[in-house]
Amino acid sequence: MTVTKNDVQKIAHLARMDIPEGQLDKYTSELNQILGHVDDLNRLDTRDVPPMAGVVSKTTTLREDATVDPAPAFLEEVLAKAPQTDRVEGDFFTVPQVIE
Amino acid sequence: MSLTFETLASHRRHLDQKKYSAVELAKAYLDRIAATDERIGSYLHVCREIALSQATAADERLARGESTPLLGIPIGLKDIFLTQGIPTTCASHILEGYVPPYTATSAQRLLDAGAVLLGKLNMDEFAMGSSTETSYFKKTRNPWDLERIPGGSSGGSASSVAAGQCVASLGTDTGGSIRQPAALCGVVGLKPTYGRVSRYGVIAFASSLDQVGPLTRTVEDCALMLSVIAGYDGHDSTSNTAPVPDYAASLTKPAKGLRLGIPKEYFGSGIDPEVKAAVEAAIKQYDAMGVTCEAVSLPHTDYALSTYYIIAPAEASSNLARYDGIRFGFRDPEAKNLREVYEHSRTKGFGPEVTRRIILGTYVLSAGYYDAYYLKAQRVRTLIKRDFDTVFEKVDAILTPVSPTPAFKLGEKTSDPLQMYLSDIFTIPVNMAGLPGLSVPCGFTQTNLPLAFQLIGKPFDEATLLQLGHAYQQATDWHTRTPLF
Repeated sequence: MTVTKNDVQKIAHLARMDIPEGQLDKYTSELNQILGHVDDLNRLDTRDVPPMAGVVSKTTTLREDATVDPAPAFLEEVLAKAPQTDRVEGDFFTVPQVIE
Repeated sequence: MSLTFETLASHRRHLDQKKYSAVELAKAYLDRIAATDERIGSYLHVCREIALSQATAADERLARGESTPLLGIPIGLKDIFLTQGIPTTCASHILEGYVPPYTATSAQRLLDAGAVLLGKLNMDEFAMGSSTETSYFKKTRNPWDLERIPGGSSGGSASSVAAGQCVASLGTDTGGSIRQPAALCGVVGLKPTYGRVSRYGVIAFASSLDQVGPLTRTVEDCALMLSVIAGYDGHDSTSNTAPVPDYAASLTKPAKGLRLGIPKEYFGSGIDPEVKAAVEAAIKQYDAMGVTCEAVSLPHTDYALSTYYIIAPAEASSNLARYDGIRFGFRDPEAKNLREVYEHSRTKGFGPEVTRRIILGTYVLSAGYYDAYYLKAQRVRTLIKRDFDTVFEKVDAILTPVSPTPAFKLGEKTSDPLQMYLSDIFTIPVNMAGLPGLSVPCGFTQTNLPLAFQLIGKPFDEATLLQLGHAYQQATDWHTRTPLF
C-alpha cells in the first residue's frame, strides 16, 4: 500500500493540519517507510484472536451520582487560559463563525 | 561523596538526625542546578521560591517529629505533569506559556508527603521520542558524555538524577520512556503495571500505554517513591483498586529460590556486544545468588514494534485533537477563520515528530484502513500479552536488555525515524502487555557509558522486581558510580 502526497494532504486535513508543500515529500516518504515496516503484521494469522484495546481492570469502580460544581474562581482561571483575551464572553470561549 | 549524589534513603536519615535542614538540602540542589544545568539542560523551569517555601514547610513538619520517607526530599517532575501555578509545556511550542489550574494526582501525592519541587524537566515533545531531541525548547545532554543523548522521552528526569540535580524524579513511560533514559544515564527507572499509578493530570500521549513511574539512584529509593504514588485514584477511570503492598518491607526478602526467565528473542543480533556482555554478566550474578535462570520464549517479540507504531500514534492522534488554539495554548494570531485557527495553530504549534505521528495515527484509523492496521495491531497485541502470560506460569520475572545500544550521539539518529524507533524494541512489549518493568544499572562500556538490564514482572508484582533489583544492588556497586561532571 503506497501513500501519495495527495493522500498525506487529505489525512492532514482530517487532523486539522496543513503541511507546507515543501515538506510533503518528506512526510510522504517517511509514512511509506513506516507503513512498509508495519506490514510485517500481515504474516500473522489473527482470525481467531480477539483485539485488545487496552489493559482492562476486572472491576469497574462507580462513584456517587452527584454533581460536583467547580468553584467560580476555578472557572475564572480556566477561562483565563484562552490564548487571546478577547476570546472569552461571560462563561464561554468565543470562536470565529462556524457556518459561513 | 558530594551531598547531591546521596540517596533518598540516606537523606531521610540525615534529615531525621538534623544533620542538615530541608531548606539547606533544597539550596544544595538549587546550587547544583545553577552550576551545571547550562551544560546539561535537564530543567525547563526551576521554581526556586516555591521549592524554598516547600522546604520551610517540611522543616516545620520535621520539627514536630514527623518522619515519613519523602518529607523534605527535593525532586524533579517531567514537564508532562500538570502542576498548578507552575508552567507546564510538555516540551511543545503549542503549550508554551501554559500554566495549569490543577496538579496531577501522582505529583500531588509526592507534595502532600512533603517532597520539595525543584522544577520541571525536559522531555521529547509530547513524550514522542527516544532521545529528548524533539523538545521544542532545548536539548538535554547525557551527564556521562555531553556529546551524547540522555535517552527519551524522560531524558531530563534521568539526567537530573544522574547528575545530582535532584534526589529522584517522576517520568512517564509509553514505549520505554522511563526505562531507556534510566538505562542510558545509569540510574534506576520503573514503569509500574498499567493502572498502578494514576494518570490524572498527566498530559496524555497514548492512553492505553502511558504510565507514571520514578527514576532514582537506587532500587530502595524507587520502592520509597512508588509507595507514595501507587494506589487507586477516582479521577482516573483506568486506575486499579489492587491493594498497595509495603514495597520497602519486602525489599530485603531473600532472592534465592526465585525463578528468572531469559527470553531468547531478546538476545539476537542487533544488540551492541558490550550491552549483551553486561546483561549476561548480570544473569551470572543472579545465578551466583541462587536465583534460577532458565531459557524461555516470547515468540511474538519481533512484532511488538509494528504493533506499537500503529496503536500509539492512533491514540495520540485522538489525544492531541484537543490542542486547537481555542481554550489554551498557542493560537496563530493571523488566523482569519475557524479552519485557519485549527490548521495554522496546530501546524505551527507541533514539531515534526509529533506531526509525523498524528498523520500516521490518523491514517491507520481512517475509513478503509482501520481494520487492516489498527484492529490488526490490537489482535497482535493480544498475542504479545499471551506470550507473557504463558511464560509467567513458570517464572517469577523475566530478564532482558533495556536498550540495544549504549547512549548514542546527539544528531546520530534524527534523520531516520525508524532508526530512532528501534531504540525501544526491548521496552515496548512491556507496555503492550501492561506489565511492570524495572531498569537496573549493571555496568559501563569501555568509554564509561552506562549499561543496564530490565526485569519484567507479573501484573501488580512490582514487589518481586524491587526485591530482585535490590538484591542485585547489595551484591554490586554500579549504582554508586557518578559521572565526572
